[in-house]
Amino acid sequence: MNWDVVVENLRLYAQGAGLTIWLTLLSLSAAFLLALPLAFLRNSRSRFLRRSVIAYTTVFRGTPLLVQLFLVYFGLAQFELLRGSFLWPWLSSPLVCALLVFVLNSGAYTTEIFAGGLRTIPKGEIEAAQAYGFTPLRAALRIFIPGMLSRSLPLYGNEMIMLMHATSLASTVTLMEITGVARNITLNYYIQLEPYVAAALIYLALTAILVAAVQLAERRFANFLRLDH
Amino acid sequence: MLRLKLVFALSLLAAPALAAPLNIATDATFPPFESIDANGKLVGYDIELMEAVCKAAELECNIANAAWDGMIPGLIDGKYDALISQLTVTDKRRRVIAFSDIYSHPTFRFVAKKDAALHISPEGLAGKTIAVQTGTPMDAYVTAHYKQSTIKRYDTGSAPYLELTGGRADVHISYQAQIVHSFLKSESGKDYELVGPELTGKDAPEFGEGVAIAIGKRNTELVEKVNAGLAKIREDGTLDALNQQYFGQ
Amino acid sequence: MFAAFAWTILAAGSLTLLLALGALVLASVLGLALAYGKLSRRRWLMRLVQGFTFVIRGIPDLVLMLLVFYSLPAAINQFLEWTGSDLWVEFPPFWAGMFTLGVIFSAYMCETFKSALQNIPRGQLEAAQAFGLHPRRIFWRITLPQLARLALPGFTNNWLVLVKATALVSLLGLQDVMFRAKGAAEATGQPFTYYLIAGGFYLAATLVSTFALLALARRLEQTNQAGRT
Repeated sequence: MNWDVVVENLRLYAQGAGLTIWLTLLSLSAAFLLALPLAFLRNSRSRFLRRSVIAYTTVFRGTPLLVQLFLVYFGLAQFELLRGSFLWPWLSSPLVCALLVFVLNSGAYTTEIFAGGLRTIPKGEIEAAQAYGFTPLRAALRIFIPGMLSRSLPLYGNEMIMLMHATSLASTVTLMEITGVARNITLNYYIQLEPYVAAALIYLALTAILVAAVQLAERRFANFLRLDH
Repeated sequence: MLRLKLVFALSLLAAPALAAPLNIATDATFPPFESIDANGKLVGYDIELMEAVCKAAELECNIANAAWDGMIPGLIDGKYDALISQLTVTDKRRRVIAFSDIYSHPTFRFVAKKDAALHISPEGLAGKTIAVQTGTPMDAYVTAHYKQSTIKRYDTGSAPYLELTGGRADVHISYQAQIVHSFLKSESGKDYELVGPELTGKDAPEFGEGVAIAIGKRNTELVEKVNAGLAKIREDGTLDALNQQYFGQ
Repeated sequence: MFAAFAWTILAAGSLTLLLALGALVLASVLGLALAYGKLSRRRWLMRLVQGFTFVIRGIPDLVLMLLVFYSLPAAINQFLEWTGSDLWVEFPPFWAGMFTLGVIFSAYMCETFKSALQNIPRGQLEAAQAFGLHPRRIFWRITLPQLARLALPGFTNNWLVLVKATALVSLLGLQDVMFRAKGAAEATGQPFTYYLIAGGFYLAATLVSTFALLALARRLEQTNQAGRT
């Protein structure tokens, strides 16, 4: 067995885990902020707005993340116009490309989850808000968003885990997160059991923490939904 | 050695096929040595060379594409019988796998944009970005000597060129023959040129002794057979003809 | 040139779809067995299945693929060598890819089938038992049709995720749509063009599947209602 190789490279794994966590948290927050308004537009009365959001979520949910990542990272470099533009210093960074793709991808899933949550808010709650003379903003902040979030929590928790796992693809665009570290070790030490097992164990631990956090949040914020039934 | 073909892990099908063709892996992202053409077929110098060796040594060979990161470990674990992929012979690799006789002595070069005016030295490339394929001699060389540069590593032999033309990397280092006979010839390579000194194993140990076919360490019988095949195609002019066909030398 | 490369990419669609369909069959059969295991009254069996699904769902697909594709054969052969056996296990890449995807998605199918099994009306099964129907007949005539109807939405979703997940085998050297697109992108220096073609293929595949399975769901719903009246 070659576990000493893993032990020797523990520092690299720790750095990789740091990048994974950082990528996950940043993409997660940005995708959340993107999905919040889009979920409302997804249920909008305007057919144009509704269809635009549907087009976005369909394309991003209908193609593999790997394709999206390569399309943005390698693909955009094909256009000379873009390479000369002020955007290039940002777009040429693998970190920016990966974040952009993770946010757009997770944003599409999150939008659909939140939009589904919105549709399940009982009519009575909405009517009550109107009866109290809530302004639209106040109704959104007090009724719609809390109702939507608490109802979406189980599915959204799942999406958070999916996103963390999705960050493993960042290794394909030169970012050294956990998977990247493991692949690099196999290439330099010619072993392929221990490095991947070590990576899997780290992901498993991170997933367990995330699952526990989501369950805690569910108990705290969505308990009233269980009493409904 | 008894071989099992595992179709589904559930149904361990014991098929002691002793005459099974040899599994030979190649990383087909390295034109003109090994690549997949527009019809999805494996083509290139190494592919033709391996086929000629197999024919000369009367071996039944099945050359298939594999991902670079799984190749050497796959050979060690017995997944493959041999590898042909412009593999350089280095001490580090000799410790874990065996090699046939060396069949070519490559030269390594940097490649950059024509007007880049880069001075190829650790100081000249300080702060610049070098693109390489991970786990190659070129990777080992720049990692050891170009400590002030940013090194970007890719899992295929072709991706670094996309990074070069995309402006994400300043220089790329690879086999001179690959740069000249694949990239510089192509439409996207027209603004690029070879830069810096010609490097070989004499300049740095990382570049190894030369290029050979890799074979499992315990499989001495196959090493002998492949060497006999190599000797034969060297004698009958097949190797010269291949060199002429691909590199005009 | 463009036509030739575009054609090779799309031609590899047969490998992608074959891989996905094979994995789907394996995942469904294995998933159903796991679902029964998870609902089993035998505690150790339930715990075992629970552990299995947690591990599979706690590790990114890419890492799992690397593990099953590279680490598992290495581990088996190292073990065989250690026992002094002369056996050598060989995994042909296509089958290994299919097996890997099948095992991963069996964990997702398990969850889908489990909740569907739980939602089959008790009364129907009890009535069938009261009629003295053979258990095998009950499975084919009562359980399976109900299961198909109840599990279809989840099943559809798993299939869509599976189709997209096949793109990961390109990183293992299998020549699927994504691999060919990568090859074309690197050979021509036009990554955007060819990754877009690959993206189009996956989008078409997921859209066609969505509509086909929706139509199926509608039919199952109709026959079910017709049977009730």
